[in-house]
Amino acid sequence: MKDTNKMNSQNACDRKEELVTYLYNEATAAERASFERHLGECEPCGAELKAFGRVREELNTWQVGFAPRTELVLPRGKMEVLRELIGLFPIWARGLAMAGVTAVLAALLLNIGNTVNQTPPGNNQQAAMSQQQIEALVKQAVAEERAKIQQETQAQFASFKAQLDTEHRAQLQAVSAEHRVKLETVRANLKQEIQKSSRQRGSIRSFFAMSEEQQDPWSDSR
Amino acid sequence: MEITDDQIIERTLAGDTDAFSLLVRRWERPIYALSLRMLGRDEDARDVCQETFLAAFRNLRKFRGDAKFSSWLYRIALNACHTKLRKNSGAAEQSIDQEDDEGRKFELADDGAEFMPDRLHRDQRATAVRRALQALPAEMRQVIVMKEYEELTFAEIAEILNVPVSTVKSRLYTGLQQMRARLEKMRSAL
Repeated sequence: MKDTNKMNSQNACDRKEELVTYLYNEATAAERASFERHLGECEPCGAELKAFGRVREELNTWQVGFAPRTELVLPRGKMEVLRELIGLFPIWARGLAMAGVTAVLAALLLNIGNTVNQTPPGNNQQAAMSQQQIEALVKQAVAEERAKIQQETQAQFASFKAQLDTEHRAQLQAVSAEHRVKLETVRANLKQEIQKSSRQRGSIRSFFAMSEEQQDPWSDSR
Repeated sequence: MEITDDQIIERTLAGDTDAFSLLVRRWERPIYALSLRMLGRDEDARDVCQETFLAAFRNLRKFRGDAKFSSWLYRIALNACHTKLRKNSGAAEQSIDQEDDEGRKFELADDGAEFMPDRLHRDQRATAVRRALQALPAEMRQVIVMKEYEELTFAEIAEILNVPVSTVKSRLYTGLQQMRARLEKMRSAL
């Protein structure tokens, strides 16, 4: 070990950085040429270069063949979670929620208005105006929201109705066509049966007529 | 054309959390390999790998794109490795003369041992390297790992460690010298 350390420390050459640059092929053409000239003159640098080459060979015997799959549970942003949650509800529920929030806001604002009303007399007119403005704004917001929800609901109903009408009409058409075919079949069968029975009746009648003639030779007709 | 790291980052920041998994798949192998060579234990390397990607995800908005994403990720991983090393101090830097976990005395194969199957021979050499590397001071070990195994340039390593290129070269030189000494010591111990 002492020999090794001695050998290692023997390289008192100050071109260590150049040596590693050359060793890892990061030297420019000029640097390379310059260091190669130096190697011809400096035996310790040559020996060290060879030794480092062997160390690199050894280092490369340790290879990491595979990497385990990294399973991450990434935290989702609050807005992303909220958006997903809202998306789970139907549009009418979202509308109701919105109306609820608006109502709460309105109540809060009215409360603030009342508080403003209780301010000193000098500010009364200003406060009253503010309250009127606030009430008007709230009324307008509630009306707008209500109209919007009504429109959306009506549109949904209309769409459902149209869908149901189309489906029902198709079903009715199919059923009536089926009945019509059945009726035609029954009518044709009945017609055949009537024809058959009238033929049979005719032959029975003629049979009885013949028999009467044979059995009553003294009848008036004779 | 393959989507770039910067494009994936943009998508992730825009709210597409799933896009980040593309970055994980792309960089998990180098980050795991770096951590394993720094720490020497598979379990620790897995932990660091996971911590690195979680930290990267949480701080993605702080990544300004001045450096390469990979450099930023390596820096996070190295910081996590150093934290782990501090926690496990003493256990991580083991002497090459110590016995291993199962109590077996470490042995290095003789280069002239022709009868030994190649695979076994190579495994023993790899074990020697692993032990010699683990015994190096962390600042030299990380430079050797990044240069030799991850094949980063001196400039990239300097950027990751936030030190001058000359410091990187100097640490690499000293690290290689110490590796040489340790490997020779193992041979002479036979």
